[in-house]
Amino acid sequence: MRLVAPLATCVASVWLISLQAPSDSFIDRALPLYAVAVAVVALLEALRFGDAKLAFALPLLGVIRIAVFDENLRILVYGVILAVAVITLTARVLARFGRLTTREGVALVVVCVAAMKLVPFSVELALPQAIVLFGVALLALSLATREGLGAGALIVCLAAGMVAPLVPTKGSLFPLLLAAVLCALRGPSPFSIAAVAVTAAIAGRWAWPLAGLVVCAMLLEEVIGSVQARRTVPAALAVVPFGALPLGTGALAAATFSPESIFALPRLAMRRRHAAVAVALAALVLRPSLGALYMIAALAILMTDEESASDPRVGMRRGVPLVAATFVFAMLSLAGFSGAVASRFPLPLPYVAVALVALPALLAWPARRLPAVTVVLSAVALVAAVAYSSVVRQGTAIEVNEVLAPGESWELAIEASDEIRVEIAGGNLTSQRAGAPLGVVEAFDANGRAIQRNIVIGDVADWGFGRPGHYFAAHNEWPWVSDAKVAEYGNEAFFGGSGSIIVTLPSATRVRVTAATSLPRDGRVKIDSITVAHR
Amino acid sequence: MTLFGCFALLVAATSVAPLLVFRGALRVRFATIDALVSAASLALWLLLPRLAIGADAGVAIAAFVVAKLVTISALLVASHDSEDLAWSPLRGALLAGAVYLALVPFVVSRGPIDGDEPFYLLVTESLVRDRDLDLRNQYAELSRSETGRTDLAPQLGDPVGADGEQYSRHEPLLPFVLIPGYLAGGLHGAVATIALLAALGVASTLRLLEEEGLSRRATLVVFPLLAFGPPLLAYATRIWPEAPAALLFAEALRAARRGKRSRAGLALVLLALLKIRFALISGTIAAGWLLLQRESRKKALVALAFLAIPAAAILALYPQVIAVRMFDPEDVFTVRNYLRGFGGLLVDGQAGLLFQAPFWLLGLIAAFRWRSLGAATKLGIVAAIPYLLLLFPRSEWHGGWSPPLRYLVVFVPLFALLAASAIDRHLSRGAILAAATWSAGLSLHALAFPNALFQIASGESVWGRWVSAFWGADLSRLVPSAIRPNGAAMIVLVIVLSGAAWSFFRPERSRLTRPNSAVVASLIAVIVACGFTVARMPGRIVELEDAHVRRYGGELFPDVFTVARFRFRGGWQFHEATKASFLFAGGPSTLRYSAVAPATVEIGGRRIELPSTGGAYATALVDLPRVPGRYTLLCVKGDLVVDRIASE
Repeated sequence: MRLVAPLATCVASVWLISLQAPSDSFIDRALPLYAVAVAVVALLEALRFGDAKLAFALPLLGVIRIAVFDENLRILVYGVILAVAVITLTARVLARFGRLTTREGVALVVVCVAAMKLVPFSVELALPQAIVLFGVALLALSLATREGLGAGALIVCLAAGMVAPLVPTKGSLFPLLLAAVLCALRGPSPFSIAAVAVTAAIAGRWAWPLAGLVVCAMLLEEVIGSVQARRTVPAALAVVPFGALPLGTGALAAATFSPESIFALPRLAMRRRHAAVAVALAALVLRPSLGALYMIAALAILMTDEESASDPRVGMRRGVPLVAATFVFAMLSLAGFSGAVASRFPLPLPYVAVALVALPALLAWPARRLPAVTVVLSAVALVAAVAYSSVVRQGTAIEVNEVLAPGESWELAIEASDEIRVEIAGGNLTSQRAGAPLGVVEAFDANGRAIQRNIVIGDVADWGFGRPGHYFAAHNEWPWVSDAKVAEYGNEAFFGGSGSIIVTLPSATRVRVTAATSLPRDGRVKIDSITVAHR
Repeated sequence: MTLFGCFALLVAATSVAPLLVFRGALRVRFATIDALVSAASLALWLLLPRLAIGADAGVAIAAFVVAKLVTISALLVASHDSEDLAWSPLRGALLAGAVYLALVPFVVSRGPIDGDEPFYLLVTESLVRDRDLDLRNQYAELSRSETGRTDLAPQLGDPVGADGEQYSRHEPLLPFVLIPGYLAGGLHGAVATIALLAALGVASTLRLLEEEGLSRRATLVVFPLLAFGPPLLAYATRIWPEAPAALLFAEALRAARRGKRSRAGLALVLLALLKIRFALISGTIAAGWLLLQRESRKKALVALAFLAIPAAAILALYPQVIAVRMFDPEDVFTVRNYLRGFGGLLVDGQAGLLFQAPFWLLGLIAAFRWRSLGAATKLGIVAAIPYLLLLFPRSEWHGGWSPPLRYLVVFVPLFALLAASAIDRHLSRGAILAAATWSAGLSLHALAFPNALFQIASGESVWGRWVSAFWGADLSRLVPSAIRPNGAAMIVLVIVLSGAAWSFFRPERSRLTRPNSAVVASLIAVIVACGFTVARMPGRIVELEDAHVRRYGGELFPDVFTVARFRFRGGWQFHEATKASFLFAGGPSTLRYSAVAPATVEIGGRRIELPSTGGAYATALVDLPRVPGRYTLLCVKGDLVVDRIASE
C-alpha cells in the first residue's frame, strides 16, 4: 500500500501534463487511462517482486506527450510503452515462477483490454464495453489452472478482448461465450453444455457453429469413452452417425482414428487439440470477421489441453512465451488503433494462423523442437504482415475521386507510362462475398493495344467495411494489395477497404475503369487515385 | 552508395560481426533474437505508412541499427560468465570496427562534412596531388575536391607564407595518415581510415581495462557504451583528430604502465604532433612516468627543468599560443570562466557530460576513490589535469562548431577505466540502465541527424530547441546552460557535485539503502509535470534568437556559420515590417538592441523610437502592461538587431 501514493502521484502528474497540453485526439485525452494501466502493471510488479521499476514508464508517458509531435507516432509510442511494461512484468514472472497468479492474470487482462476498448468512451458503447471487460475477466478465470495463468492464456485473453466487437452488442458476448465453452470442456456436464447453448443462443447465429463444434466434440468424446469401456462395438462404427455433422467433427474423427483401429479398439483419448483443429478449420470457411474469433477460440481450446494443464512449464518449453511476447507487443503497441487492428487480427493470412495452431498440435512435435519452430513461425507471421502492407511505389499520383454507378465508365488520358496503379474502393458492397465481380480496369496504348484486369471482391473491398460498426456483418475480404491508411483512433479506428489494381502495359496512354452491371443497384465503385510510373 | 546499399551493409555488419564473440548456444540465441528484431523492424517500417506516420528512411535505418546494437550489448552483458562467449579485446574491436566501417557510407550520405573536417581533407588532397601543404590551388578548384563543399575559405588563423602560400592551421599529421584511405576510396576511404583508428582505440582501451585488472563483467558493460555510445560514435565516422587521439592516449597509458619506453615515447610524440593542445597531455604523462621511475628520477628532474623553463617563458610572453586564438586573452584566466567551463563540461545541456555522455559522468562521480584506482587510471587523471585547467577558461570550452564533447574525446579511455572501476564497486544497475538508455537515444540522434550535432552554442540545446519550437514556450530555460548561464545550471551543478562529494566521503563499506523505484519515478514525474507547467508560463527574459520565438521575416544575427559565433552577443535582425511573437511576463522592461540608424518598433501596443547605437548594443526602457501573455514585436521603421527583452 505504501506504493499506491507514489504511483498515484505519477498518474496525477501525467494527468496534469495532459491538461496542460490540450489535444483534438481523444487518445491524448485518454492518456491518464494509459497511465492508470501502467500504474496497475507497476503495482503488480511491486506485489510480486517488492519493487516497482516499471513505474519509470509513467513519467516517460508524460515526456512522450511533451516531446513527440506527430500525433499518430505519439499514439503508437504510448502503446509501445504499455506493451513493454506488460511484457517485462510477464517475462519476469514467468521466468521465475512459471505462471502468473490468477489475480495477476485477471488484473493484467482487464487493464490491457480496457486500454484497447475504452477509448473513446461513449454512453452508447458503455454496455458492450462493460460486457467485454467482464467477459475477458471470466475468460482469464476459466483459463487459469491451480498453478495460475500461462503465457498462452494471456495471449488468448488479450486477443479475445481485442477482436470482440462492440457493435453489434451481441458480438461483445464473444469472451463470455468462450469462457463458457472452456468451462464446459474442462468439466463436461449437462449444465455446462446448457450454459454454452444458452450463451450461444443469446449471442446470435455467428456463435452457433462454435458452440456446435465444441458440443459435438464433447459428445464424441463421451461416446468414444463409453464404447471403449463396454468394448462391444468397433470404434469406427461409432463415427458413422457423426459423419453428417459439420466438417470440423469429420476432421476430428479422421484425426482421431488410424486405419488399423477400424477393427480394433485402441485406447483413445479425445484430445482437445483436435477440437481446436476443427474450430481452426472452421475459421477458414467463415467470413473474415468470424474467422478471427474462431481462430482465437481454437487457441483458447488448445490452452486447455490436458498436457498443458498438467505441466505448468510446458508453456516455457514450447516457446509459447516468445510467441506470447510477440503477439502481446503487436496488440498493445497498436492499442491506439485497436479498432483497425481488431479487424485484421490475429493475422492477415488465416492460413499462417492455422499453421501456428494446428501443425504443432497435430504432428505432436517434440517439445524441444517447438521453441525454434514457434520462433520461425512468429517471424513468418510478422513478415506476413508485410504482405498486407503495400510497398509504396514510385510514380506520379493523380487524385481522381470519381464514383461509378453500375455500368458506368470513367476514362483518363495519361502520359506514356508502363505501370498504372488504380486505387479503388467499393460503396454499399459490404454484403458481397469474395470473388464477386466489381468491374474492369483497362489500359490502352497509342497503337490501340489494350490490357484488361477484372476487379473482384478480394482485390478491393467496400471502403467502410472495416468500420467497427460494419465489419462484423460484412462478407468482404481484405484486399491483397492496398495503400489504405488508418482512419480514426481507438476502438473507432479502421482501415479503408480500397485496394490497388495494377495494370502493366508499355507506353500506355489511356486508362478506363468500368463498373460491373451486376452490382447491386445502390452499389458503387469509387476511384480514389491513379499512380503512373515508368519501369 | 544508395540508401538501400547502406542498409544492407549495416544489416550484414550487425548480424555477422557479433558471431565473432558468440558461439554455440549463444550463437543460436543471438541469431534467434536478431531474426525477431529484424522481422519486427521490417514489419514496423512497412506498417508505418498504413498508420499515416511519415518516416524518413535514414532515421528508420539509424533506429534499426541502434536497436540491433542494443540487442548485441544486452546479450553480451547477460552472458558475461558464459562459456559460449568468445570475448577478447581484439574480437570486441573487430566487432566495433565492422560496425564503424559499415556506418561510413551511411553517415557520409546523410550530410556534408563540416567544421574542421573539410580542411583536413583539403590538406590531404594537397599532399596527394601537389606534394605540398599550400592550399591556394585547392581553394581555387573546390569543385574538384572530394569534400563536396564549394563554400570553403581559409579559416581564421590560417598562416600565410612569405610568397603568399595559404597553409592550414591544422597540424598535418592527420591529413598525412588519411592519404592511403583517400587514395583507395576518396572521402569514404578517408573516413574509413578514421573508423579503423577508432576501432584500434577501442581495442587499446579494452586491453587497458584488462591490464588494470578490471572484471570481465565491467568490461562488457563498458564496451558497448565505449564503442557505440557518445561521444566516440560521433567521432569514429568523422574526420577529426579526436578518435586517433584517444587511441594514442590509451596506448601511451598502456606503454607507460608496462614500462615500454619506446612505445610510450612514440605514442606521446604522435599525440603531440596530432594536435598541439595534446602536447600538454604528452608532456604530463612523460613527466609523471619519468618521476615514477626511481632509477632515472634525477635525470628526469634535469630533463624537466630544461623543458619547463623555456615553456614557462613562452607561456608568460605569449599566453594566446596555448590558451585561445586571440580571443580576449586577458579575460581567460578568471574564476568566473573557470567555473563556467568546469560546470559547463559537467552539466551543460548541449555540451556537458550529464546530457551528452551520462554514463561517463556516472563513472566520474562514482569512482572518486584514489586509492582504489589502478596505476594507469591515476596516471591518466594526472595527465588530464593540466589540459583541463587550460580548457576550462576558454571561451570555446564547449568545442565550437563540432559534435559535442570534442575536447574530452581524447580521454574516453580514461572515462572507460573510471566507469569500469565504478561498476566493479557496485555502481547501481538502475543508474547504468538509465544512462545506457539515454546514451542509446543520443547514438540514434547522432546517426540519424549527424549534422545536427553541430550547434551554434547560443545557450540552447538541441532538444530544448526542438520542444520549445513546437510549444512556442521557452522550455530551454529549464535545461542547464553554461554558455548562457541560467539557474537550472546552478541547481543541477550543485546536485551533481553533492553526489560526487557523497560518493567521495561515504565509508567504503557503507550499506546503501536503495531508493524505492516508485518514489523516484514519482519524483521524476512531478519534476516533468511542474517543469512543463512552469515552462509554458511567460518568462521574464526572452532572447530573440531562441527557438520558442515565432518570427515572421528577418534573420539570425550573426549568420549561423559565422566563425566563433559564440563570441557574439547575437540576436535577431529585424527589417521594416518584420515581426516576432513570444510569451512574455510584461511589465516595465529593458530592450537590448543594436541599430546603425534610428529605428521604430512597436510592442504591446506601445510605439518606441530607438536611437542609433552606432552598431554597439544599448538598452531602451519599455513600459509594458503587467499582463503576462503573448507579445508581438513589430519593426515599424528601420533596421535593428534585437538581442533580448527582460522584465524588471
